Amino acid sequence: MKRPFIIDCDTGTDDTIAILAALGCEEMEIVGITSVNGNVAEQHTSQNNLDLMEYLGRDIPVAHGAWLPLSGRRDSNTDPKIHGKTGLGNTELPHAVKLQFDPRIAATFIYEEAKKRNGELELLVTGPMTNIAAALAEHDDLKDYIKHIYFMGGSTIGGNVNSTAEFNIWADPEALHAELMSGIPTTMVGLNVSNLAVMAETEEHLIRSYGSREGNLAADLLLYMMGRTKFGDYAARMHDPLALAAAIFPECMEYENYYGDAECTGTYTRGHTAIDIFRKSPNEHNVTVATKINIPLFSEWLCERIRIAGEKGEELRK
Amino acid sequence: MRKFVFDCDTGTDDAIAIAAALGSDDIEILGITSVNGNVREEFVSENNRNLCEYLGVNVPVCHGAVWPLSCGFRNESDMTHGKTGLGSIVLPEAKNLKFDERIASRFLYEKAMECGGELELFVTGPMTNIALTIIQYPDFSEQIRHLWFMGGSVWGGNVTTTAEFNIWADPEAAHVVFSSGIPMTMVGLDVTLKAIMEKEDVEELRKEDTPARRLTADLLDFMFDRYRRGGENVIMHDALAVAAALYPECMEYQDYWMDVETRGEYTRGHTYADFRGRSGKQPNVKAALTVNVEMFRKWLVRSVENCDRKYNG
Repeated sequence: MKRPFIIDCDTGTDDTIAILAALGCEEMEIVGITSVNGNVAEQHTSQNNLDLMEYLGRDIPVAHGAWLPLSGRRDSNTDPKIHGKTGLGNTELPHAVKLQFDPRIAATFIYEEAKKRNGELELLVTGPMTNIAAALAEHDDLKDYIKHIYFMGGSTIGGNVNSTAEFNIWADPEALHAELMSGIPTTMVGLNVSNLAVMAETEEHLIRSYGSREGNLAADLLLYMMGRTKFGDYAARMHDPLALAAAIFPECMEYENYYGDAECTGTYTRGHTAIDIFRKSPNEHNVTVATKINIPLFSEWLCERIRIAGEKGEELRK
Repeated sequence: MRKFVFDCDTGTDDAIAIAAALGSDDIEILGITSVNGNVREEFVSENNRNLCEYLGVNVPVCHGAVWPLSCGFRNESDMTHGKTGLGSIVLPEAKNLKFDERIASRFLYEKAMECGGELELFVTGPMTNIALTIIQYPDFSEQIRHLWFMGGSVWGGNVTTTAEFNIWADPEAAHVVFSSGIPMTMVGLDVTLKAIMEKEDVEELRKEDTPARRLTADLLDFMFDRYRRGGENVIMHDALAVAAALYPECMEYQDYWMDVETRGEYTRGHTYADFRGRSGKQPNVKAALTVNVEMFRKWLVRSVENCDRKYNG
């Protein structure tokens, strides 16, 4: 049986690459894609998700989700230099004309689909945790229906928005706090590994050589990400695809179990993921944290998944 | 000649840093002030007094703050520095050298005024004494030419995931210092965790049996042993702050606007670096980010050797 997943994301350049690779994971059934405010505003992330599905000829439900973080703050989007104005760099997908949004909002979509699957549903979360926190707040029994959450976010050390916070958690620390306290088995893929998952020209050429729509789109996004290094220290880091790898190809990383929480106060440090790496907390561990990565193994796997996604896609679109 | 006061919580690696500073030819150490930190102030100040007499150095040694500004927490003897701060090393008790009668903050203020804008500070413990001087003497800050400190970290921590011990031990004091306008260079865990000494350094030091060489070699051996027992590695946190002032070529630096997190449920004591320029504020700290360990080790051994030549030659 295929593993049922919902992908909750703020698409997003590297979110798109994660989705493309997920389409090449035959062990997964993608139940739906839910959208959240994050890299760019929700109106863009949801539209990107819908456009992407139509462009790839995939009939997968796409749902709207939260447009503000739990705190209601309105200053939580990324610098437009990183993902471009609407989230896909300088790539423009044709506007979807056939596909419609699922009528349910993300929190409801996640809950109903989880309940249908009797505890087998897993979540891949590559944006802020807002939709999951909203679903947890609205449905007392949701935690019993989610088998595992794999998320990209946080870091055991340092940050990328500031010196302690990674973007996804910085954008909604309260939501991660709610998720980590829920008891749902959780795996965190943070900057401590994802910063090392850098793709370069070699991979871009390889992926483009597949000649598929999926491959070309991934290659265009990689090219955009490599180009923005001109603005500073950004590179083509595969943050979100690495969270997919944690779920489907866990062998490419090593993990440790820790107690962890999100810093929700702090003048400067709001959004830090306080992972108890010094083992001082009396609390039981609540999160499995990726601590090491085998980069060549991961890169090879990612390219191969995009290749398979392309083969299947070209077949579907015939 | 550059003039310095050395404010510290001696401390295994503080002791080595002091010996290295005393061994430098082109500076003068006007005094050593003690602060609660690695161990209680009563041990720290006693260590400083014993150390000076042992090294044959006649400089004023002062008592200083016994609690951090927030009065919350005081470190007791631990594995990193041993019961009284010098690991397993016991220095002979000083017979001649008496404590200066001034408390650290008063001493720092008077020295700053005497030096007419030329005084520099080494700070290798929590910043309590410096903060107390700043908040009691309005004309102090502008008299300090530069403050070189070991503490903080742009990335990570050693007490928590975001806080280094010296800043974590008194975040309020560090905040006062960071916002004082005193020009500062930060030598944090970003570099100090890499400043690991080697067995060959001990061998080099043991070639002659003179006080500074012997003490440094003994302290390093204590640290090698500590590392074997699962403790901290043979890391020269504090001496690296001295190197920043006297041998800056061994590191690379970046200017940031920085401040200290004094709130936070988990993150109190973080030295926040505004590396994206979001605050729009001018940099107030030069932070060391990379170190050439080989250069540093050679410099340190040379400086300790020179300490003995200067005071026991």
